Parts: sequence; structure tokens; C-alpha cells
Amino acid sequence: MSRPPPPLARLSKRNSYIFENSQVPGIVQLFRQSSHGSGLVAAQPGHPTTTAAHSRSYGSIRSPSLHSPAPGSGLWSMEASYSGSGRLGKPKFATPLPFTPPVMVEKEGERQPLLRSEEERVVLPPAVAKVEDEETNLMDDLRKELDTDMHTIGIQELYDRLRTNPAMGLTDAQAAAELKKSGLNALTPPEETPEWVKFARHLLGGFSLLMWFGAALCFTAFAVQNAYMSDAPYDYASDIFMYLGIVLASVVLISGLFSYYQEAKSDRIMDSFKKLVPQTAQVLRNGELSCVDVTDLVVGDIVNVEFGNRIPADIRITETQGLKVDNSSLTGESEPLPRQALYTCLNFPYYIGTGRGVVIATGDRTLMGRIAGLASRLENTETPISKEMDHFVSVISGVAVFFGVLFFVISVAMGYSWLDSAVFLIGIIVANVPEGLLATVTVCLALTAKRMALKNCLVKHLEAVETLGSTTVICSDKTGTLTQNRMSVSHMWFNGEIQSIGAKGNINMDDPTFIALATVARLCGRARFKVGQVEVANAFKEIEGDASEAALLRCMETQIGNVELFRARHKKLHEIPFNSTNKFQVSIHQYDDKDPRLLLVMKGAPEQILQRCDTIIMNGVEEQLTDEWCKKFDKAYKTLGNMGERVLGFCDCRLPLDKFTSHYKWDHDNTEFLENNFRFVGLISLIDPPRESVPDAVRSCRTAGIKVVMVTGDHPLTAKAIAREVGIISPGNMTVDEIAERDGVSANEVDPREAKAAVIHGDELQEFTAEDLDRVLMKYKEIVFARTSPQQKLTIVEGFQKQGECVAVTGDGVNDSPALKKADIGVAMGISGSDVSKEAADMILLDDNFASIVTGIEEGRLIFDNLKKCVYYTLTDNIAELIPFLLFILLRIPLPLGTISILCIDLGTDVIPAISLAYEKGELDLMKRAPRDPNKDKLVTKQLIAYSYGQIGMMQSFAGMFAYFVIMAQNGYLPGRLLGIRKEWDSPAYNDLEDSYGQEWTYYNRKQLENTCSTAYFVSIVVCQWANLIISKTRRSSVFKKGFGNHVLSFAIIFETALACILCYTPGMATALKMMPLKAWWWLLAVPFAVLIFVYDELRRLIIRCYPGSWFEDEFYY
Amino acid sequence: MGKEESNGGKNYTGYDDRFSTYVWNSETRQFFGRTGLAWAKLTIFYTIFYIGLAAFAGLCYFLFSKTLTEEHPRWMLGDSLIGTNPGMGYRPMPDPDTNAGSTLIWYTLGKRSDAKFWYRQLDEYVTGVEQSVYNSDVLSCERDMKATNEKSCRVEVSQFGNVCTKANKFGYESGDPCILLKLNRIFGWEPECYGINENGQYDKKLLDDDLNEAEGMPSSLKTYIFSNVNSISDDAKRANFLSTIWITCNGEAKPDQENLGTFAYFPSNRQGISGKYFPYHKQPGYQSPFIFVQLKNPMRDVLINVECKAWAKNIIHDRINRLGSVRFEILIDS
Repeated sequence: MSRPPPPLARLSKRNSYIFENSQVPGIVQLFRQSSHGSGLVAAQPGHPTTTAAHSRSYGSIRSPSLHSPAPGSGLWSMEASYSGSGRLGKPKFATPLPFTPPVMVEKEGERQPLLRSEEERVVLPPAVAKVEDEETNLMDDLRKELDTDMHTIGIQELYDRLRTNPAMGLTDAQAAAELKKSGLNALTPPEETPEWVKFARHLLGGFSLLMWFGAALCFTAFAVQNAYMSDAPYDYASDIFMYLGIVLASVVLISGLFSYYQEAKSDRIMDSFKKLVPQTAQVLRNGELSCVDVTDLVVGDIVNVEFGNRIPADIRITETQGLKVDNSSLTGESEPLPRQALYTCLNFPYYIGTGRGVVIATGDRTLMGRIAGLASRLENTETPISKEMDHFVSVISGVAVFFGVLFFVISVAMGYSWLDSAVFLIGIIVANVPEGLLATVTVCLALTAKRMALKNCLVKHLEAVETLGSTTVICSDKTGTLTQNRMSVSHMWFNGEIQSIGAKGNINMDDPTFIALATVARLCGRARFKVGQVEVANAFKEIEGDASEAALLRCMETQIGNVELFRARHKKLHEIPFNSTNKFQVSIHQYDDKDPRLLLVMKGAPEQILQRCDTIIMNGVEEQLTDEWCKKFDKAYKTLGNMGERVLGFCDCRLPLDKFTSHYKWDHDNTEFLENNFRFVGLISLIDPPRESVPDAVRSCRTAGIKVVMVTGDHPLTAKAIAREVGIISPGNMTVDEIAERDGVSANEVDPREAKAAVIHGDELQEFTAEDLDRVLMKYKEIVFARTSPQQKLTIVEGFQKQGECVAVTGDGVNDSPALKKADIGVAMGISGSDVSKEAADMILLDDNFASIVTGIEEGRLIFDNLKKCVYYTLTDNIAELIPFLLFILLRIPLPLGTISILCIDLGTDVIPAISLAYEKGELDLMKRAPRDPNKDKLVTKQLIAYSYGQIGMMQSFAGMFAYFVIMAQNGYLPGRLLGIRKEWDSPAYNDLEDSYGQEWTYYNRKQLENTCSTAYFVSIVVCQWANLIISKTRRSSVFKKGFGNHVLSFAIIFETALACILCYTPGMATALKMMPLKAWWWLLAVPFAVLIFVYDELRRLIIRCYPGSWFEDEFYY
Repeated sequence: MGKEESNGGKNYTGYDDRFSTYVWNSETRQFFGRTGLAWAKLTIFYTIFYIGLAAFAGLCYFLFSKTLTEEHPRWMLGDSLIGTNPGMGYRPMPDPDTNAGSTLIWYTLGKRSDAKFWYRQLDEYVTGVEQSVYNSDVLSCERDMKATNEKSCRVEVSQFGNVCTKANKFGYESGDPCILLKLNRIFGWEPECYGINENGQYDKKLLDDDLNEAEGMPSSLKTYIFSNVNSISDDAKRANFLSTIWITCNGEAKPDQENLGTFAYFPSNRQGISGKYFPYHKQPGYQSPFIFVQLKNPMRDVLINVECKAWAKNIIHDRINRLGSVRFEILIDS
């Protein structure tokens, strides 16, 4: 019953070795390098281009610079990128810390065909992945990196190789031929298991094999009896075998169909995500620009890319104008990167500028296709609940087989015929197998899944419902999950002080410095509100433009208001948009105060701005910018930087009237106005703030004993700042570096034991051995991983899993998908998540909110508790179903409970009450206790089995046997008469069997009596199950304290009773199910036992509460 | 199963890695996961628990048994599942230990030990009935006397004549076996006989009607009843004669009927069981009334299905469920 260990799991371990040690160029390198900020054009170790100087083509080398959270982490949905909302990226303001001198390099003009790719070595996946027959080879291939020269060869050579032409593009014929050869430009969806295989799995899983065996035994008995005893005068007995065999087989079929249906239903939820919006790309074919479906792109096509488009395939950019691309989905970078020679992938929204490129790879051969392929080939880890269910099934099957074989041997030894013994075996199997339980569990999980979906946790596989409840570690992505994924202004520095910006009103609006700063902030920007949002509150208005500018605009609108009007009054005469070379943005405005001079406003990287300034405004007075001021500036800059914030500097200047008037002829190439001396007005720092609910949620996780780890591609400082803010690093805990700084010593001298928190850089992680990683994961309670690559995320997850942790991973990008797949539960983001990540995940947060995970944890723990109750409830009557058989064999009394009645209980009356336990509310401490230990806190423990089988089950058996004996006695057969009567009783030849009162019973009347007793036994179980259901509500506290608020449960009791009545009293049941109508007061026979069960269990729980940790609790708390 | 366990052990690090360690862990001195002391405690607990539970159930049953009497079952006739439609029994029967499901009377003619197995059963049965002569609780019901709720009527063995007797070995050795037929005892059940009104008196018209309505009654029985009634002069005697549960036997199917010879019923003056023996009230010394039917010279070496039915107004025949009738087979090898 237990599945063999997934072969691919082992495989992945082996392959991860390849990751860790790979120094070859390729994906790993690509990610790692790009996470450094050098973008996709990162240099190889040892390659001449590694040096910073070589990055000159990238004026904005982002060496160990501070870079802040930015918009557009993750793959924006199409709509978002088309709408060009406020999240759109913007040229990055590089903000190196003052202590790390910025590398300033000149950059050639931007608009220039890029042919010098020698220096811009792009590390690439193979252009054409070798299609290997063997899966393993494919996996290896995906994890290995092959070099390609598509980006290094001369552009003409490339064209030649691709047989294309930059002016004409491909011809239609060429395109058609290529399309036929390489297929559509789309990701191959992960291989689907054929429906019939899924169905067969349901037919053979769980208890089904045992049931099939029972059915086969029935048919064999039928055949044997027909073959050898066909001349027997009565053939009713073989009919029963036939009947029972058919019933058993149908039970398996129906429950198989049911769970198959449930699974299919949850699969369908996923399909709704695969909404396919047809996309088109502008392609040059036959010398004409035409719109072509993205799926029809082929290698060699010349495509135009524009603002807001997605780049449809891996392309090499040949011409560009300020092109920036959001590669966050691949790299985890949160900012769009400037791109020149570029290979990017299918579905990549690209942000600013325009460009033209030649397609070099399509479909699965793209970089994204390869990662998606890698993710889809990682074996899904088995969910904890399915492990529990497998375990449970094997335990119960073991018990069933054990009892079956034992009593088969006993009955043969007692002289029963083989046929009789086989019948007993069938009976014992049927009694021992909780036929309805697996379906019940499925329904419980489905109910919880539904409930969770309402709370924005969409569960893809039912079994994943519980996984969050078992989770011990959450590896959370930062951007968009912990943070709002929306830049906003958090601090300003002016008048030499840092002011924190919250709601309106904590800033003196009349402060002349603030006015100056606000003027610059309002004028120097291109972001604007989208039209038609008059009614919308400022905070929620959608903004067109770059995230930083949007944040400034929103802040100004909130603090001062009427930004648009202000801009209109001060007409913009000229501007130099931001570019990564000069790292500032300038605009020149008419300013209508008394002073006719034009106003120049400028913002940009603080040190850039400061460099240009001679003076600084202080309380409205212009002062010389002294060294003292510079120190103050440095300090403020550093402070803000340490808070993980992106800092912008602002300055202004009045242009001399003699030269610059409104009639001045502005020219892009003439920047003489920059020669003036500027006045520094202040700094504004921005951050992507944490979501409001996150700190609480993190605290809840902590209380619940779950370790929350941040794994982000972002910069360590930003990561740490956010981690502190949301409580992933708690206030008292310091990292080694922080301690070193506090004590003024170097990091090496700090006692590592003192540090409880750690921020680990991707580079460090790269150097780690497996043991190092283990040590770190064990040692630190609070860990932040920054600048991590997808492979490292995978490594971290595997590291935790190796320690036996149950890991949840949240992520949204394509780069997260291998980790999502590897995690015990992968949680993808519903709004910002890429399709690939959603495909790899087990759960989807519809609102992208970390707090929803807490709901998931709570629901997961609740369902585990409730499933336990549900299993307990269902298992209890197993023993009451088994005992009659044992007494029947051992005491040779008429059968007290028929096989069909057992099925009526297992598949009829027990089902709804068991399901109703899924609606049970948690016992108060759900989120206060530690996650369950998968080795100890099993779904089915020996305590549970002992208590349900050994105690409550026995009480039910006594109740049933009591009812049986009472009815027998009232009809004339006193218990003494019944012992040993079986042979005559069950023989139709005896048409005159005497009872204790001398009456003589025909076979027919005896069987009527027997069936009535069986029905009474059945009813007794139903009555006892009332009490059992009520006691199942709680495992520790008193039922009275818990209350009776679960109306589904109350309904279930009524339903169960009604169903029992229907089974009892419907005419025709006597022949169909051998159920006989009972006298009303026979229902009451089990009531004393039901009361006993209730009182006994209250008592048990009282003792457990009074003596925690006692022997009694050890043995009887399940 | 062993394999399963070891598999489970692999996947489940939580369970002891090896089953043998689980059985006996020498480190913790645990046997099946518990120490000796823990097992002892548990044993004591469960002993007390089950004793307590058994006592509780015993108490329940004890209280319940107070509602029972020895005199009669708690439920009778229609209230009980035994119902109001008696079945029939026959003797001799095959050995219950070796042939529990069979109803075949099978012996080889001339093989003494074979036949003895069958007639000895009848011997014993008749001897038991004869013993009741010494039981003063049993009335010897002469004439119109009838059993009361306290006293039952004696079954006179002499009425069966000298054919189906011990001396005659009940015809088994001669190949004309006698079969004993009786009606199942149902507490308080009384027959409603044909032709007798509520007052227990003979009613000619009623008899005609009753016999016409009696579905499936063999015409031979009707003729038998009419001719006997007509030959009796006195209405009281007619009533006494008619106060009978008539019994007929026949082959189950056409070939059976052809293979069977004729039947002889004993007592010869009444082809059935007299109503005076009813009702059964668990009277002391109660003997079930019965008749003998003799199969005269049935076909040898052929298995013959015989079906006997009891006839009264309140006996309904149900062949499948063997109500109001009995069925057996006979095979006499020559």
C-alpha cells in the first residue's frame, strides 16, 4: 500500500550535486550573476569581462550597491503590463552607499546596434535542447548548462545562421517550415496522467485490494457451491455469495468513482487558471510588419518589442532605445533591468523603451521553458496526510488480514468446512475494513478546501489541505507576499533631520524647506494618475509610470494635493529623462512666483545630486554646503540605506535669466544648463512596505511553533529591514554583523553563539557545503536568505527537508517554481504569480497575502484534528462489527450481525456523522501549540486504536449483543439455548427447531428472527454512535465546555437516525438488505450503553485534564 | 503482511526502524513498545475495565430477565417472529453431524444396519410419547375433551394401529417406510378447522364453502372428508371429526408422483391431527401430536421428493419458505 520511494527524488539529490558544483556557465551562473545586479550580461568568473570596468556598457553597474525593493517582482499578468499601472518599472536609481564609491563609467549612446557582444557574454541555456529519449538525460540536460554563441557571434553571422534578414525578416515559407520543424512557441504543458490510470489508481488504492479479495472470495464460494453442490436441495446460500460479491465489488467501484470525481473536480479548479488570452507580436515577415500570434513565432523572426509588451521568446536584441525588461520572474530581481543584448523569454512583460530583436529560441527551448521543464520534472513530495492515510490503511489492512487469517485457521481447526471458513473470512474482512472512511476523508478535505478557498487559499490537490497544518518551516518570498509590492515614501530628510512619513499631518507644511522639496518632488516626474479616478481615494488611485515616481506622486497628492494642477501651473519647458548613465532626471519649468527665472528641478542618486550642489537649504535659508553638511548627509543616507530603503536626492536651481528664458531653444544635445550650481533640498527614501497584516501573521506562525524564513532575491539590507519590520527577525536578536558593529569589533571576533539571527547572502550560500547549510539551518532561529538563485532556493528547501522539517514555500516567479515543486507545500501567488509557479504549486493565495497562509495553517491543523476524530469515530464500530463474527464462530450462536448490515453502517449511517466532524471547531489551543511531530503525532496512534477498539468499541459490542440476546429471549430463545445451536439453526433441513419454550421454528421464521436481531444490533450501534459522535467532538476538554454549536453534527445525528429508520421500516428491506422492522422499544436497548459511553468518556477526559502527563494520559489520550 | 510492515518501516521513520526492535527493544527494555510495568498496568486496567463492562451488561440483562417468565415467551403468535403459521416437521431425519443440510431418507433394502438408523429414531420418539402415560399432568382426552391452558392431552400410541409400530420396524425393513409428521408447536396457536363455526359446531354450508375455498387441496382429501362426514350421523361427532388439521402427502412433481406408490395415513380413522391437542401452552408433559404416513412400495433406486401439507383455515402454504408444509426425499436402494 505504501508507494515506492519516488525515483526522481533520488535523482534530484544527485542532480543537486551538479548544481552546487557547477562552475560552468549556464543557468546557475546566470542567476547568480544576475542577482548581483549586472543583469543577464554577467561575466564569467575568470573571464576578462568580470571586472567592473568592463561594465562600462552598463553605466549603472550595480556593484554591491544598495538596491531597494522595486515594483514588478514576479511576472505581471498580461493585463497589468498592458494597463501600464503604477507598478510599472522605471529606470533604476542606483544608490550605492557612500562608503562604497560608485563606479561611474561612461556609456556610449544608447541607440546603437549591439554588435560588441564579445564583452557581454550572456550565459545561456542551450539554444536547442537535445531531446533525449530518457527522462534522466533530459533532467541532467535541464540542470546542466550548455554554452551558446548566439549572443557572441557577429550579428551578421547570426542572421546568416538563422537564414534571416534584418530588413526583410523571414519569408512566410521559411516561417512555416520552421514552425513545422520546431513546433509552436508555447510551453509544453506538463505531462498529464491518462484519466484511466488515475481511475485505476482509485480502484486499487486504499482498502480496495482487500475488498476485491473479499469479492473474489465471494465469487469463488459461489462457483464452488454451484459446481459441487448443485444437487443440494436449497440453493439460496450460493445466491447470497453472488449478492455479497456484487455488493462488495460495487462498493469498491462506487467509492473509487467518488474519489476520482473529487480529484477531477479539484483539477478543474486549476483549469480555470489557464485562461489563454491570445497574444500577438509584431513580426517582420516578407519585409512587412505584421501581427502574428505569439505561438507562431519561429527562430529567426525579427520582432519589435514595445512598451508594456511581453517579449514573446528568447530574442537577441539588435536595436534598442532605453529598453528595460523585467526579468524578475527569472531572477527574483525586483527591478526591471536595462537591456541591450538580451535573451529573454516567453511571456516576459517588458517595460520601457522599444527595441527590435531576432528570435533565437522558442517554446520549451527558451530559458523559461527550461526552468518550467525542470520544475515539472521534480517529483512531487508525498503529502503528510497521504503518508498518514497510507500508514493508516496498512495498519487497518494488517489488522483485517491478521484477524481474517487467525479465524480462518481457528474455524478450520474447529471443524467448520472450508466453505464456511471462507465465509467467515469474508465477514471478518468486511467488518474490519472501514469501507466508507476513505471517501469520508476525501469529503472532509474537500469541505476544508472549499472553506479555505473562501479565505483566499485555493488548494490544488485535496491532500495539500492538511499540509500547511503540519508545516514547520515557511520559506517566504519577500516581494509581494510579505510586502505590498508597492513603493511608497517612508522617510524624508530635510533641515538635517529624518522625518518619517505616515499619514497626513506630521509634517509642517509651511516649512520653506519642505515646500522646496515638495516642489521638486512634484515637478520632477513623469508619472501621472490615470484618468477617470476622481472618486478613488488617493491611496488606491492607479498611476501610470515608474514605481518610484508613482510613490512620490502618491505621497505628494496625499500630503499636499492637487499635484496635476500644480504641474499645469508650472509649465514644463524641457526635460532630460532618467537614464542609467547620468542617473538623474532634470526638468525645467516656468515658475510663477515673483522671480522670473526658470526653475530647474533635479532628482537622482543622492551622491550624484550632492556632487552638483554648492548650497543646501536649511529652514528656508540657503547655506554653503560644508563638509559638516556632507557628513550629516552621509549619516542620513547611511541610516536610510540601512533601513533597506531606496534613497533619492533632490536639488533645484534658478537658471540665470540672461541665458535661459522661456524662449531659449532647448536641445537634447545641449546640456549647458547643468553647468549651474545647484541647491540641495533633501532626500526622500522609498520602501516597499510590509503588508499590514504580515507582522501579526508572522507572530501567529511563531506562536504556532513555525519557523519563518525569508528567501529572496533582493538585497540583504532591504531583506533584513523588511524581516525586522515584519518580525521574521525579532527585535532583540542580532546578526553576527550587527553584533560586530555594536561592539566595534570585526565579524570574525564575534562569538557566533551570541547571534540568533542570520542574513545569508547567496554568495555565502554558494560556498556552503551540505554540512554548513545544515549547521546554519539548525543553529539560527531566524534566517534571511538574500540574493538567492532558484537553485539555491531548491537547496534551502532540500536542506530543511533533510532535517525532517515540513517546508512550505511561497513564491511567484518562474524562478521559484523548482522550490515550489520541491516543497512539501508550494504556495503560489494568485495575482502576481506566473503560470509556471502556479502549475508547480500545491496551493494558491488568491490575494497574494502572507496572512492567508496563517489561515491555511489553522485550517490544516484543524482538519488534522478533525480527521483524527473522524477516523476515531469510524473505527470504533469496527470492533462492534467484528465481535459478532467471533462469537458466531466461537460460541456457535446464530450470527448477530449480518455482512449487509455492516455495509449499511460503514457506507450508510456512519458517513454523514463522520463528515460532520469536519465542521467541528478547533479546541482553543490550535495556533498555540507546536506543529505536530510527524514521527509521533500520527493520524492513527496506538492510543486511538486501543481506545476505539479496546474500550468504546467493546462497549458498543456489548450493547449490540445485549440487544441481540434480549430479542432472542423475548421470542423464545434464551441465551443458554443459543449456545452451540448454529448448525441446526443455519440448516434449512430443520423445519422444526425447538426454542426454550418448546416452540418449534421453521427455517424461515428463524432467519426472520436472526435478521431482526441483526437489525437490532445495527440500531444499537447507531444509538451508541450518537454518544460516540458527541464524545468525538473533543479530545481533551469537556463536551459541555465545547458546546453544541456544530449544527451539521446535530443534523448528522438526526440524519443517521432517519436513515436507520428508513433501512428498518421501508417495506422490501427485509428481502433487499435483510433489515427487519423493530418494535419501538428495541431502539432503547442500547441507550444505557450510550449513556455509559458518554459518561465514561467525560470521565476519561476529566482524568486526562486533571493529571496531565500521567500514565493515564499517555495511554488513553489519542 | 511482514513485507508490508518492513516497507512501512522504511517510509515511517517514526515507527521503529526494525520490527524486531519493536518486538523487543533491549535498550529501553520494551516489549512491543512498552515496558513490563506498563504492560502490567495496562493489563490490570483492562481487566478491571472488562469486568466492569461485563458487570454492567450483566446487570442490564439481569434487569431485563426480570421481565421474562418461564411460563410463556414474552412475545407470542403474531407479536413474535414465529408468527401464526406453523410449519411441519418429519422424522426420521439424517444425521445432523454429517448431513446437516440434507433431508434425504436413504437406505439399502435388506441392509439391517442401514434401516435401523432410521427406524430407531422413530422407536425413540414413540417410546418418549409412551412414557407420558405415567405423567399425571397429562389428560387422556376422551371424546370431546380438549387440552386446557394448564393440561395437555395424551397422545395415544395405540391409535396408530399395528402397521407403523416398533414391532414392525415401522415398515423400513419391508420397504414400506413410515414417516412421522407433526405440526410445529407455536405457543397459544389453535387451528381453525374446516366446517366448524365459532361455537365449535358443525356447519354443513360452512364446510362446503371452506373446502371450496381451500386452495390447492387435493380432491382426494375433500372426498375423504365429505364421505366421512356423511357417514357420521351425529353433528357433535361430525364436529369432533372435523376438528382436525388434515394432512396430505404427495410427490413434489409429476415424476415423483408416478414413482410413489400409494400412501397410508395413521391413525386410520383420522387423516390428520386432532384439534384437541391445541393450544400449546407449555403444559407440563406436553407431547406433540403426530401422524404416520406410510409410503407403500415406492419405486426403488429412485430419489423421490415428497411434500406433505397440513390443512386448516389458518394455515397458509408457502412452498419456498416451507410454511404449513414439509418436504423430504426418499431413496431406497434395492
